[in-house]
Parts: sequence; structure tokens; C-alpha cells
Amino acid sequence: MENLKRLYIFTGKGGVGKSTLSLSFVQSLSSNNAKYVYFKSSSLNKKEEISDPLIAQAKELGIPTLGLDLEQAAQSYISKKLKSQTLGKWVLKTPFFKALINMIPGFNYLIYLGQILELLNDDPSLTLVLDSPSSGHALTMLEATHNFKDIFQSGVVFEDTKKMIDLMFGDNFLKVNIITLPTLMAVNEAQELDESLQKITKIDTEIICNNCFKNIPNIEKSTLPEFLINKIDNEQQVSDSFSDILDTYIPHIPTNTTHKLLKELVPSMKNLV
Amino acid sequence: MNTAKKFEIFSGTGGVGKTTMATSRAIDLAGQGRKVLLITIDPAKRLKDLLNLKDEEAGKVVSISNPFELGEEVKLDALLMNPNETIKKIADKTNAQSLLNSRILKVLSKPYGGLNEILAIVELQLNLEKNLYETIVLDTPPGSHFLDFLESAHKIQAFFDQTFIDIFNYLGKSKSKEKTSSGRKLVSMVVSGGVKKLLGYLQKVTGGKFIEDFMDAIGAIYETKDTFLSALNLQKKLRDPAFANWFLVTSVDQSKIKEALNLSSNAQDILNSETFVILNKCLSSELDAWQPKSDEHLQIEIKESFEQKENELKNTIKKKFNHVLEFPEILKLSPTEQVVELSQRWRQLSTLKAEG
Repeated sequence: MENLKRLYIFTGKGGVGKSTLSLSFVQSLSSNNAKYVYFKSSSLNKKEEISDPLIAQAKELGIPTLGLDLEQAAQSYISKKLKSQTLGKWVLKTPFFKALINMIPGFNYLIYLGQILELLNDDPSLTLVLDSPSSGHALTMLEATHNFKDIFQSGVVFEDTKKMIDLMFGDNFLKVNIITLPTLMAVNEAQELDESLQKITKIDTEIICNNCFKNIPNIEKSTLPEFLINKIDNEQQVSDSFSDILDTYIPHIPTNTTHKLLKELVPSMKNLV
Repeated sequence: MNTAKKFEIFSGTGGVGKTTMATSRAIDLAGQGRKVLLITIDPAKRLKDLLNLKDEEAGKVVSISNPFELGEEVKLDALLMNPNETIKKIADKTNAQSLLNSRILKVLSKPYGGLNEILAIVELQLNLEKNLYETIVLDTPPGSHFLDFLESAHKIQAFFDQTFIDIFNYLGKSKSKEKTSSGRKLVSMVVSGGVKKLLGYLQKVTGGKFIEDFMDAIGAIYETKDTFLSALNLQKKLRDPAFANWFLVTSVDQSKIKEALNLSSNAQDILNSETFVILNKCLSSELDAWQPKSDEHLQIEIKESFEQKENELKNTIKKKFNHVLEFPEILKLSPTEQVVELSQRWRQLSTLKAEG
């Protein structure tokens, strides 16, 4: 596909379908070298392996995925900078460092982003699709580079952070897909998130309205029960009042099987590039 | 639904209707004539507008009369929590201006910062001390996981763990001798082998300024540690069923069965036995009434997928929790109407309880 960016971040508040859409997006890019990225853990204390049925299914469906591990990423970075594996390992094990990473927002994201940018740098054909935690966290993640530039002020991390900013916010590198639902509050929040993102720096963003009943192909409104007609009317009002910022709608897919869901979403994915 | 407690705590991931639910509970209680404070954390702009909360009023208690046009006699106090404002309050209370100067604490107390959950508890504590309210309704910060809020104690405890206690001990000793403590002095003071070595290595990576700032931040927190430690105590107390009602909000329109399962396996150790699970946006009565014709395949598919999702979630939750409250999906466009209808559902639930 042409004009593909290097990094796509899917964000939005909880339950809007970020994981599903980002997986389907990667599936739609099957002829490109695109991978779905998920985080294995968000904190150094928790050792929860992600066992999301969605990811298991994605692997079954042959959607290329890539799991990033915070501890490994942090360790490899520190080891590289201290030029010693042993020291890197030791620093990571200290309670002090664990507390530092877990308390300071965005530190973990800075580490993840660093690894992601390194992967992209090493393989110029690669496109990564990032399924990011949720709105506020995504903001923390994208702000992280700027925050940490301010926090560190000097030193190795400072220099690396500056490099990250140049790369990530450079031309045609990043696109943020803000996923939302067709309700007033949800679209409002998406708009607020978009505004906050633009405050960081100029970022290519798109607000995508997911799970719209009004966009189900061939749906005959008159055959539907009152509550669904109600839903569709509400959706229409939302799309009318936000017509200036909304023009990508993803239909509701009536199924409970992941396989069918991901497959049927594929045709809508071309709008998300 | 049993009677309201001193604290009513709403917890859950983003997008399940947690803030709307907490607000509807607060106005239901206020409508019964209780003195209620609603603490909400960065709700969507529309809800902020509805409650008449402005960003610049963050951290201040706003008295609202006639909320949601429920009547002139209805009064509700609301507080839009802002972690930075909470830090200011702590600084004022403990006279620790160093708290305000720390650049790292400024970042830590940003929305979604690492101190958010514990600062919400501090805010509870500060408002509890005022002794003005019969019930405080708390809408917890959105976590990426259901239990982030409950686990905040671990975060703060990690902060106060052995390595830090070493540092604090040095600080404590030095404080008795001299009043000032700059980060630089601190670093040289911390002679405890491991910490000193670690800081040395970290300095190579992060730069010296950062280590200095970080030590300043720790020093500032140390000065106000009583506030943080009393917040930890309050958090323990919140597990007492006589003192607090916990509402874990989940929503039928989100296919988060795994999350629900996780919740039930983890929650037992953390929550009290009186924990309520709210199943929001239930559609079962509408679905039961809907009978698509046998040739309407798309309609049948929609109905079945709805039913399957809702039943799976209900069955999973009901197996694990004794108290499950179902709230219907409110098919109203306006958030005001949604809140008002949900508050009527709260009233209905309490009547049911009184009869049964």
C-alpha cells in the first residue's frame, strides 16, 4: 500500500474497540511488512503475561504480532548505556529503580517507544501498529518524550529523547487513530484528546467512530425494534453535530466470533491508513 | 441496595459509565436529603458542564443547588479533583513548600501520573476531616486495569520500601542536625552501599541533574510523609463494609469477559464482602421483547450476538459476586437525561431492597 506511515497508534477510551481495530488493520496490510505491537506488562512489579483471547486468535489467524516486555527493554537499554549486561541486570533488580519506573508516568512508555523506534530504524520496510492502553495513557506516552526532555535536561537519556522526538514527529512517520463510539460524550472526549495531542506538537490524527449501527450495510430501519431505531437516531444526531471532525465510520459487526469480526472489518480499514 | 455508607466508591476501566454512574448515585442520595460530596476526576467536558464545574475551579468544592433541575431543595457539593491542587493542599497543610518546587512531583501529579490514585485518597482524607458530609461519593481515576485504584497502596508502599527507608533514615538523621537538604547533599549523604552505587550508575545514564531532582522529590515527600501514610490507613479502612460501599462498574456493551474474570479472581483479597458489581447498559428487556421474523437473518444475528454477549457477562459475574446490580442502557442522547434516569434506577433498587 502506498503512503503507509511507519507507526500507527490506536488510542481512545476503554471499550471502544482499539485492539480489534488495530488487529484488523494489520490484517488488512497483509501484503506489507506490518506488525501488531502489544505490551506484555505495564509495570515492573506485575509479571502478567498477556493472555488476551484476542491476541491468541490473532496468532491463529496469522496476523503478525510483536510483544514488547518492559523489563527486557529497560534492561537492554541500561546495559547498552552502561556497557555491561551484569550492571544493567543489577540496576533493574533494585527496588529503587523499580519504584522509579512504576511511579513516574510515562517512564515505561519512554522505554517502550525507544524500543519501537529502534525496531523501525533497523528495518526500513517495517510498519508497526501500536495498540495503546487508553486515552490518558496514550497522551502520557506521547507526552513522555517532551516531559523527559524537560526532566533530564542533560545526559545520555536526554540526548536519546531528543533523537526520539525528531524521528517520531518527523514527516510521514506517525499517525494516531483516535477510536471513539457514536455517543455525544465519547466523541467529545475524542475531540478533547485530539486537542491535547495537538498541544504536544503537530500530529497527524484521525477520529474514527466505531461500532455504528447506522452504518451496517443493507440495514432496513423499519424492521428494527424501537431501541435500535433509537440508537440509530442518536448516532445520526451525533454525526450531524460533529460533522466537522467526524467522517470515518466503522459499522457494527453483529457477531461474537473474533475471526468473523476481524475479517468483516477489513474492508473498512483502508480509511485508517 | 442497602443504605448509603460514609463512602461510596466507584471503580472501573474507562468507558463503562463510571462517572455517570457515580453522579447519578450522588444526586439520588442528595435527593433524599443527605449531605453529599461528589468527587470526580476529570470527567468528560459535558458532564463537567452539567455539574457546573470549571477547570479553573479544580480542587475547590462547588455547591450546586437544583442539580439537573431536580428541584430547588436538592443540594449537592461537587469537587473536580486535580492532582496538582491536591499537592498544593498537602503543602499548605504541612507547610512543606518544597513539595511545590519539585519538578518531578509536578510531572508525577499530572493526570495519569503515578501519584494519582494515592492523591485521590488524600483528597478523601482532607474532605473527611472537614466533617461536613454524610456521604462522600468518589469516582476513582480511570485505570488501565480494573483494580489499579485498589492497588495504588502497593505503588506508594514501593515508594516507602526498604531502599527508600534507608534514604529516609539518612534524611531523618540529617534533619535533626541541619535544616536544609539539597539534592546534591543528599546524594553525598546516602552512603548505604547499594543506593550510592545505584545512583552512580543511574547518573551515567540519566544525567546528574535528574538524580538531584529525584532526591529533592523524595525529600519533599518525606517531609509530608504523615499525610501519605494516613492516606494509606484510610485506604485500609475503606475495605471495612461498615464504612464504605464499593461499586465495580462494568458494561455489557464491552466484551470484556476476561476482565470480569480477572476481577473476580483478584477482587476477593482486596475488596470487602459487600462489594457491588454494576452491570451497566443491559438490554435484556428490549431484547426479550424483540421477535425478528424467521427470514430476517441480519436482525436475528444482531439479536443473538447481543444476547450472547450479555448473558455470558451476567453469568460470569453472578457466579462470583453476591451483589450484582443491573442498570439498563439509557437510550437518551443527552447526558443529563441519562444521569437523571439512572438516579431513578438507584431509587428503584433501594425500594426493591426495602420490600424484599
